Amino acid sequence: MVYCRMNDWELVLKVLNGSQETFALLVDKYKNGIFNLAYKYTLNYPQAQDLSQEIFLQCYLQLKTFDNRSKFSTWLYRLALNKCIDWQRKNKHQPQLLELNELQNVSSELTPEEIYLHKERALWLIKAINNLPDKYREVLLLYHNQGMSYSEIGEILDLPLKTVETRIYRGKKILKEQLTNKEEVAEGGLSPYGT
Amino acid sequence: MDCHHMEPKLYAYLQGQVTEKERGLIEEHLKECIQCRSHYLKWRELEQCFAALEVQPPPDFTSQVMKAIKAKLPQKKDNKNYWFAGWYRNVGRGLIAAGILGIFINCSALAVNFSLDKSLEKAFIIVEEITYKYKQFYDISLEDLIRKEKG
Repeated sequence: MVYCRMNDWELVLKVLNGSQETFALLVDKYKNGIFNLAYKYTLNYPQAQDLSQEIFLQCYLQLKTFDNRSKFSTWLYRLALNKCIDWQRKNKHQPQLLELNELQNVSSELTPEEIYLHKERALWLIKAINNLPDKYREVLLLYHNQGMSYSEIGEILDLPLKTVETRIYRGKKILKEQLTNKEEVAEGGLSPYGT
Repeated sequence: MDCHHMEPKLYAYLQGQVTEKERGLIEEHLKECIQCRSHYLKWRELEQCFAALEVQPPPDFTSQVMKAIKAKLPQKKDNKNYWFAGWYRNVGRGLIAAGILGIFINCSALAVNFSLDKSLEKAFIIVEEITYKYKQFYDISLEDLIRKEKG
């Protein structure tokens, strides 16, 4: 298909010229990243579905404001992040019901015990990230989302490259210390991930 | 190597952000130092936790988004298609345009035989007649009012 060889800006122009179907190609390209980001904020699969759908809908409605001064992905992630932060603010008091079986990226070669451990790790990490200060959480969630680079994160959050690098390191250092503490508790007979 | 400054280097090593020389030194140090090895393993475990954090959107996600967009937006008529779809529409429009053009041509032909002086003269007569009639009407009604007041 000719459209597959088009870059993001060409696809955007096509959508703006009235080809609504072309927008599906942009959704296909960014759905994994946006869905994962939404999931890490909502911690709930159906809610992540709704939120990421809303993000793409808003992206479509605001597409005429995109002027190609930044990359389309940067513009989209900036919009997505704002929407996620809004969602979190509105649903602050809603209990987060993360189910282990929602985490699907598990290798089929693993034993059931390893799969459980894998999911338990993810569950612990999501909770730990959500307890981090905002400035660390945002960079970490973007960094571990489809392998986003420091410079892309800097553009999205309007931060210097060095600040992004430092925040990622510091955020991870806090998480590593929490992980170490959990394991020390585990030596007393509890699960390392506190569940 | 000083263990106190090893932590950021271990992280950079895990991310593949060290030079060849640094890598050799770090690997040598990890063989000897249990404490740094333990730190390194923790960093690695944390990276594995991040790797476990990926989810996949449902397979029909894109079509759901497109459906939501279509439901949200009123279906606009595609101007291009609306104006150019169907040859019969074009024929119809052509006939209408030809008719309008014919009427214009006829009018302009009539206008050639029309004298401007005569038409102006007629217009003045008509204006004069109308003014006279209004004047007559106004005079009569004023006389009636005076008569009524006296009566």
